[in-house]
Amino acid sequence: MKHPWLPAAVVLCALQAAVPAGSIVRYEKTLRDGKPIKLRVEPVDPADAFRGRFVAILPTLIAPTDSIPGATGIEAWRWRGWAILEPDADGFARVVRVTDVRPEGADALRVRYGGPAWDRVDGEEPRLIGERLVSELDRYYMNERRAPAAEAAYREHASRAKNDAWIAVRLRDGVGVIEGLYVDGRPIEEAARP
Amino acid sequence: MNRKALAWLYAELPILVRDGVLSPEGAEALRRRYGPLDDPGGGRVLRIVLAAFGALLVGGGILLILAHNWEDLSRPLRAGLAIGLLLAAQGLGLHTFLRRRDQPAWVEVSGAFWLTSVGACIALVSQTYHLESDLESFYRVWMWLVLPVPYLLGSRVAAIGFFALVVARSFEWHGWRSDLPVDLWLSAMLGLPFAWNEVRRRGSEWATALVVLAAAAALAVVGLTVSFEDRWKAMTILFSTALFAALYGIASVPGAPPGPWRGRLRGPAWLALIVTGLVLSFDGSPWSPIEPLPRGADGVGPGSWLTGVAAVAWLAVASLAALRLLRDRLPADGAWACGGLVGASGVTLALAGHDVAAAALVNVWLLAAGSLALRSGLRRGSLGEANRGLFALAALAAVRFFDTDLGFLVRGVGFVVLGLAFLGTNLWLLRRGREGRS
Repeated sequence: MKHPWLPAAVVLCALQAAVPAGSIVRYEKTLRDGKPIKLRVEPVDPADAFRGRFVAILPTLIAPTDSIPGATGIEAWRWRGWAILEPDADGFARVVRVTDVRPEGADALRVRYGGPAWDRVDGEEPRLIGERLVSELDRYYMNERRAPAAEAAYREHASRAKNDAWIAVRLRDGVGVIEGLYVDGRPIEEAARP
Repeated sequence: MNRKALAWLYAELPILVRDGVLSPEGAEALRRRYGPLDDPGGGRVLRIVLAAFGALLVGGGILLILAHNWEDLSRPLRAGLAIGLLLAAQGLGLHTFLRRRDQPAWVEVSGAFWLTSVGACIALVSQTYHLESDLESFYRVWMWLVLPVPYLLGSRVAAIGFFALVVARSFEWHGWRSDLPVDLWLSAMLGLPFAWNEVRRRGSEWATALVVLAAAAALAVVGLTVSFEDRWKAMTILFSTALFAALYGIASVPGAPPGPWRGRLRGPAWLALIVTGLVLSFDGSPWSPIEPLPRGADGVGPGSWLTGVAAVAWLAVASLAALRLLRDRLPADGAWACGGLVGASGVTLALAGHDVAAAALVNVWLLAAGSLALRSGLRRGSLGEANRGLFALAALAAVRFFDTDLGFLVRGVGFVVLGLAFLGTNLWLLRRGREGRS
């Protein structure tokens, strides 16, 4: 049956399907062909550590002091940009450069300013070591039955005392996709098993 | 034609044909002329509600079954199911669009399913790939993808859902993080033609009133969120008074399409005007300090300027409505619709350093509008209008009692007088109404 608005309806359906389908293709390509890299994660405020079916995580990077382009003081907290990364000897991400503009073809992650980074050693004055950059990959979905144990394991291993929680990420063309969340070298799903 | 009368006529036709008063062809012609006997509105609404409820149960059940086995499914399969859900909703929507557009149950159920499945698909993909929790971006994409759905199907549920997304996105936007998205205003405005079209085509239906309320709420939230976030007091006052007065005026002008939407819109708009007016009637913090631009801003972004443009546009609408109402000898309604001009004048006075005069202007306006409404209500025997006037006057007196140094005795006597005025006016109008009927 011909209807004058049928072509518009078909175009709408195609557009609605193209948006999630395009995302799926992009993220699958990233997981298949992206550069693997590891990001250390910090503990999250206990009130926010778990909501529903995901664990809230806080992947952070340390960039050199004064590396946030063009933003100082309070304005830096509104800054959002890109951190170009390369893996160190252990596979953990190291910030090569920070930029406002999305870099073409580089292994980069979208980040926001997270405040100054301090090195705190018991008995000594805290030492400023750079700028904290926080990735916007801030959640890891998992089975809600294992969530309480996962939450406890995550918080324990992300704390300063242990600092052995990290996420495995694949990077491709400025897109980062989480492959897994690890604590003490094991996947969180395994660590949270009773 | 009145449904009862039609039912009576159709019941009489066989008798008239049997008695030779009407020929069988004449009876058939009458049936063709008036069409089938529709279900009563209540039956049709119940069918739509039950159909929607059934669809929700089916959809919810499918989602629960999938959720139980979600972890066992591979990532590509999860992604495929998300797309499949969307395609199913689109298929149902297209079927309704091509073949069932005249059936309200199909239109509303498929519209609701289509709207929610777009959001569910995006959310499922986000969950599958552990994507970032940027709710504002999520609402933005969802909102733009479903904007055409109400227009295609004529679905009012989809329209209400769209305006709800505009509101949700407004609440998620934080001024400290970024400049106001220009497309937020654009999206709210693009939804308005649907609401207006419904008022013209189906203004007599209660569902249209819900669409109108949803549209009005979206406009109010977008504008006020921006002005609050920008800490832009002048814009907050200008926008709120202009919008509420415009909505009141649109619902009150005699030439507007009739229907329950008018009362549903006029009541909340009037209440919002009164509350805003009472707040602005104080001469302290509502008016001072006040600045022409947002506090602490280096400049105003294009999105925030759009709020100013919208405020001026609503002020123009309110002013035109007020002129029309005054010209049609509806002084009470015209006075309420002047609320936008009062707000704009008050802002001008306050920016010039005359904040006491600005507050005084609002007090005079409330006093005048309340008195006119009371007088008009008493003349026309309208209980509702008289009470609106009385309420405005009583509320104004109450807030003035609280911010003056009058003693308890004076305040107590004042409240008693107001209370007696309320009771006396209502009793007199009720008695007059009874006398008129007998």
